[in-house]
Amino acid sequence: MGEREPEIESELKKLIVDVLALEDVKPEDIDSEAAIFGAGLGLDSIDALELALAISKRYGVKIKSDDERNREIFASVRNLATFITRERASKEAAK
Amino acid sequence: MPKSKSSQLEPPAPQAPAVRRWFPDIIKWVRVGLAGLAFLGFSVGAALIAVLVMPWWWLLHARKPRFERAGACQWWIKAGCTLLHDYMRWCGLINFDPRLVDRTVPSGGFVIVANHPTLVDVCAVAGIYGKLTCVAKTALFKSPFIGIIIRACDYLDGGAGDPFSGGLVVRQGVERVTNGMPVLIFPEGTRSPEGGLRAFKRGAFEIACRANVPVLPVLITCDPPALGKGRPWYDIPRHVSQFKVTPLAPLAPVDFGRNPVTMSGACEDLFRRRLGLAPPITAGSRANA
Repeated sequence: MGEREPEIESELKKLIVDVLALEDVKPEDIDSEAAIFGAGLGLDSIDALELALAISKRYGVKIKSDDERNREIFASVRNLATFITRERASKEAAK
Repeated sequence: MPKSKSSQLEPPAPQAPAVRRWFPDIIKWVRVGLAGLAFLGFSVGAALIAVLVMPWWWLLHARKPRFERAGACQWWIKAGCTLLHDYMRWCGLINFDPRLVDRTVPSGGFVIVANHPTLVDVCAVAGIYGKLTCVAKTALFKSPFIGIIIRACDYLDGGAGDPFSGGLVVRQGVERVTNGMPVLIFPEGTRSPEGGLRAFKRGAFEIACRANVPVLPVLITCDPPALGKGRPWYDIPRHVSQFKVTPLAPLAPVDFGRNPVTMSGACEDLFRRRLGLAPPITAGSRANA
């Protein structure tokens, strides 16, 4: 699982750039540990929902809008990747 | 005839200056009391509408389409808001009559964007246009009387500041304007600073650009300032506040390449120019959105 994370991270970066139509940002420019919202990439709550919808479509993980962990999950690309990997793993285990 | 002649010669009587000179304190406290009654009246009015009107509204409109049903409830908000402004005008607190403002609006759905100098701006705009929805905090939807009314009026749930709140408001807004239901948004996110303007957020323009509906900019001024952010409600200016609502020419998203950030910046500039304010140091950057 440790090897899989970097792949999912670069996928996520591409997803962020594609979904949010960021013109002057390249996927490889995004730092996995930098803040996605606010100071880092400068995305806001409108972008957050778009991203959450794209992620649930792509990876089949549900992100609830009233989840208190959202702030932490969406803190950085790394956190997002960890969350997705964990959710998918627990889904697999449930099957 | 002589009567009308004499009244023509007389200059319009100023608001009881002689009385103020003799009883300044009494007048002041009476006005604070009248303002307090306005707040009380707002709550009592909301409770009355919720208890007396809502059951009938439900019986009459339960089977009608969603937005038609909401429009019928919004009529009551309009009536209540107009009455509140009538009361404040009669008492000499804030001079404004929603009936006197031009009601020309774009056809179909549109987004009303306004600056937010006072606590009574929503009431003023709702009193003018009647059919519209606003954004309210999630907590307000749960409040006993107001909650019933704003749910019936199909107001937008603004969330509780969670990471998705802005996106959810945009989705709800697009749904409403594409169904011909106008949405009122204060793009500053809260009341304006006294004599100023906060940076506009892009949500209102995001709705307009996604749904491709016009933005109706509505300029609000209140002079001398009253009921502003950081000013207690009982701090009432000595003179009657002149409250003005000026609808400006609608803006079409296509003129801004349907880019919400560009449109937001242009609209903020428009308000700054009309308010006689200097342009902001960093205009329309994405980080401000």
